[in-house]
Amino acid sequence: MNTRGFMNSRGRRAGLVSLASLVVVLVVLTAGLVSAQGPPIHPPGLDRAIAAQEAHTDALLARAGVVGTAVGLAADGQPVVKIYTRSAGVRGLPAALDGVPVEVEETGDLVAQDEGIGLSSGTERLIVIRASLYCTVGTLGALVSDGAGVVYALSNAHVYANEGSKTYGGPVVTGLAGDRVLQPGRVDMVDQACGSVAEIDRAEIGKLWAYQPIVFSRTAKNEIDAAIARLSDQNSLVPNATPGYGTPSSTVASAALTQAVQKQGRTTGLTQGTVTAVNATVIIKYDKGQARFINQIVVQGNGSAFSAGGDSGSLIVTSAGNHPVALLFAGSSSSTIGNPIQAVLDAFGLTIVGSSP
Amino acid sequence: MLAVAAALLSLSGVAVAGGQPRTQNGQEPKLVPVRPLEEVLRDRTDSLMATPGVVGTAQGLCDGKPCIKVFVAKKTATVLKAIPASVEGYPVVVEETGEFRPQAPPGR
Repeated sequence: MNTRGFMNSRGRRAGLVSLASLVVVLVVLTAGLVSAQGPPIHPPGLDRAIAAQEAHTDALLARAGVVGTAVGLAADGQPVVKIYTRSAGVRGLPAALDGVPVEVEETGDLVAQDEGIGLSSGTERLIVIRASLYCTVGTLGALVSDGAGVVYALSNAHVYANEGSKTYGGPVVTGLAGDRVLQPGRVDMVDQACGSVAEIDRAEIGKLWAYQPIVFSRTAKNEIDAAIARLSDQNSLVPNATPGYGTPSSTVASAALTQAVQKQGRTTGLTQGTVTAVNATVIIKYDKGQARFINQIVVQGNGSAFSAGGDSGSLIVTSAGNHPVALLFAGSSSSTIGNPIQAVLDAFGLTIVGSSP
Repeated sequence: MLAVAAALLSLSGVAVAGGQPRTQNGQEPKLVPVRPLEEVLRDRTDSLMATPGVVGTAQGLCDGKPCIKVFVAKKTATVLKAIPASVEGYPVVVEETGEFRPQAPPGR
């Protein structure tokens, strides 16, 4: 259970304070007391609280019953070090650390949850086959935004909307707008197979907002397997959203033969590869049936596989400059297939949230 | 009779409808490409994909030269015989990729 850093963004608990709300609280408290020169950006005492938390966290986590630490604000707006406990009545905890007041909060066990692009993500929809649960997983590929600045998580339709999943004699499982999108995906949950109700609740990052339906035929002209989820907390994945190669550029690049590319994905992590084919027409075997895709990009790994199951939804970027090239969605043991990223962005009217240029 | 005539014409460098058949020693196609590769691919993809076991076609670079890639689930003798060695002057290279599936595995 890693709870480093002044913002404990791992696990969702009351008492965890985001920077935005810290600023809001301090503005409210100080309004009327100081002349209007704009809100303070860095609350006094915060550095001390962060230092105290970082200096003592290891020792605190070693104590029985302590499950996490953070920096928060007391009711009077003063920064405090928070200690989270598994149950009430944990003894021997300090009232202050290095002069910074301590607040103890009973939270129960915190499940470490990594959030960010390039990491596990999925949907809450389950498929039941012969009375057993069937859940799948992919990768949150990128943050994207629309003309109004609203931020969404981008992945594949078969990851966020169950597109391509067979209906095993039960209700239709293809995604409906409003379906919950999770990070991590249900395969990576630990309480029980496909996650417990509490885990799923904690993992929600937003709602399925839109997806491109796939035509399941060998003569179809599918171009993208993509879906977006509107983030409930518009700031939650930024600036945590830095995958293995750093921040993607907001400027996309066209795929080109021999281009050096990379990706960060849930299963194989950070991998390097080369574009070995463009303008590909390929048949993809989904559970539901075969679907032909046109104008696709083929990447092969340098030495080891570029992708494997679970990497669906990863953003493929140039190795030099991190320019988005494709949205990873399919493959075999030797080859990875991606949609040209511009086709994905055009379909939804979006841009990549990233560094410019 | 017709097959023999076609074979003779191929060996002499004249294109036979459908592309030159694969030769045993992988001879260089005699034709120089005239049409852009994108166009040729657009026109020939359907027929290339009609062969059972073919899972895709694409533009590639083979030994630095533009070529047509044909992706197959498995390089069987039947599949290889059905795919031409070149089409309108562009080499056709068969790549055994296996079948393509979405990269999201079944979980538990």
